[in-house]
Amino acid sequence: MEPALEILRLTRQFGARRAVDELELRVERGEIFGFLGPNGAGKTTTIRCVLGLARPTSGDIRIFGRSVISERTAALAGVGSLVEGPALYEGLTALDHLRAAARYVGTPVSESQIAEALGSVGLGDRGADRASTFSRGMKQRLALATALLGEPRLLILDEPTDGLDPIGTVEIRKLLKSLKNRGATVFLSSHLLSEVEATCDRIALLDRGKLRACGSVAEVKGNQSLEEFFLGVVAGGIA
Amino acid sequence: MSVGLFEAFGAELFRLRRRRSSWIALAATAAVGFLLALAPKVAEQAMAVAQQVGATGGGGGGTISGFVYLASGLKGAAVLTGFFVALAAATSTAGEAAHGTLRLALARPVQRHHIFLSKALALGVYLEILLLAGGLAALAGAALVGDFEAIAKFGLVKSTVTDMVWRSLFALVLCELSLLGVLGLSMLAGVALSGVGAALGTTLGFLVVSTMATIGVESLRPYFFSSFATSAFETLRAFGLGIDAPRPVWFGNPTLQDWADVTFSMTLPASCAFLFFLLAGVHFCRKDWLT
Repeated sequence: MEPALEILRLTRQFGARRAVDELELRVERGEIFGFLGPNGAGKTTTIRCVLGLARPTSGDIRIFGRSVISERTAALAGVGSLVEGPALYEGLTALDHLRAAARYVGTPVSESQIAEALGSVGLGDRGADRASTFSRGMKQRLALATALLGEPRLLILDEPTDGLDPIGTVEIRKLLKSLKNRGATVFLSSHLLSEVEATCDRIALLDRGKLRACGSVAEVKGNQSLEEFFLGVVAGGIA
Repeated sequence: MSVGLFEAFGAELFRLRRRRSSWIALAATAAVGFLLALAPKVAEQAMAVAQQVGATGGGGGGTISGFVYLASGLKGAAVLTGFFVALAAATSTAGEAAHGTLRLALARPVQRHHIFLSKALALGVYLEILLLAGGLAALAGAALVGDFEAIAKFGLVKSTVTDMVWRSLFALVLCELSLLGVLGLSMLAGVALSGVGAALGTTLGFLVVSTMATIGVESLRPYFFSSFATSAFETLRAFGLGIDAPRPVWFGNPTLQDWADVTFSMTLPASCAFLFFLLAGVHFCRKDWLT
């Protein structure tokens, strides 16, 4: 069976600088995969390439066996994402925002599914409020609800707990685990090492565009804490 | 399962319909169309010209034809429609890219050219609705103060009502083609530049400069798509006043008088609009959306 996500020798260059350098990754179906790295490591560029927002300089990306480069729409069917902070139609109410976003999902999304997505992020009673009136944390929750529309098989989340209070962070952790139990795959990029350690089955560490480590949390960190391992790799340049 | 053009178009229309700014633009365009059709200054100017040339509408008695007021209202509505459409196009491209909401479509199973076409079509519908609202309001205003009857001058019928209705419709079509050019230009600027302000400023700057060029060099007038947005109604106004159009006033070009020239006058703004849409669409589909 094909993996949920396969990144094959992905390279993305900006002028002379290689933001992502020959990256190889394989995310199995049904796992929560943590994608770690310091600022500027190439995480967001990788995610942009995975979602077809940017074209790789070379290499390929396959989602459930379909190439994002040659079969973009087929590959992105069943993929939900949250990239670089909440992107919301702020002039609309939360419900209208989800109704508008649902039209791009590719499968019919019913009103009850929209209400369910809103409820799952704790905004069930705020559907009639305009997104522009929401706090940063509430916007992040609504963006997460947007990613959940259409019950995606693969969820790509870039800093999903950014801006959330501790209660929100715990709720999102529970939500991700419940999604995993329902068979969804989660590709999670985060700076919060404790969050990644508590949530993810496997992790990969990216630094200066190159993959430095990949495996289960226990395999990767060994006897150290994840933070010590992370700092050691980023400061030393090698694992 | 991928999202087709029809669904993407529905999504764009849904958002336009739910935005407060769309309704404000609609109300403003209708109000301007109505008020400019009634504007006392316009009526005074029209009266002065009518007295000079001895033209009358409504079968004599010194009344000004309703078509003159209609042209005035339509001209105002067209200018405002152009502004609101340019703003909406810049918001829909550069604005959505800056806010990240373009990703909500780009990262889903939708072909990029379907996203672009859905935006262009939805904005085209928006343009038509604004112009229709402005046109109907102008018609209502004109009907209040003028008569829609044959244009007479020195006892002779210069234009029948049927002639004037066809001229009004032709002027509207030319105006629409010109406004489609504005829409295409604004989408091109919105795709190529970052931020609504930059895209809108570039579009309006181009329109202002080209309009000034046509004022400065009258013979250039037929060759700038932007001049068709309002000059068509100036011609309609001249006909309404019984001035010997088309030769002296037909878009500033004395040769524009027969069907061949009419075709030319339609081809020019249509070609500009097509070119802008093509460039914007190609750039939209090829661009790396890194914002």
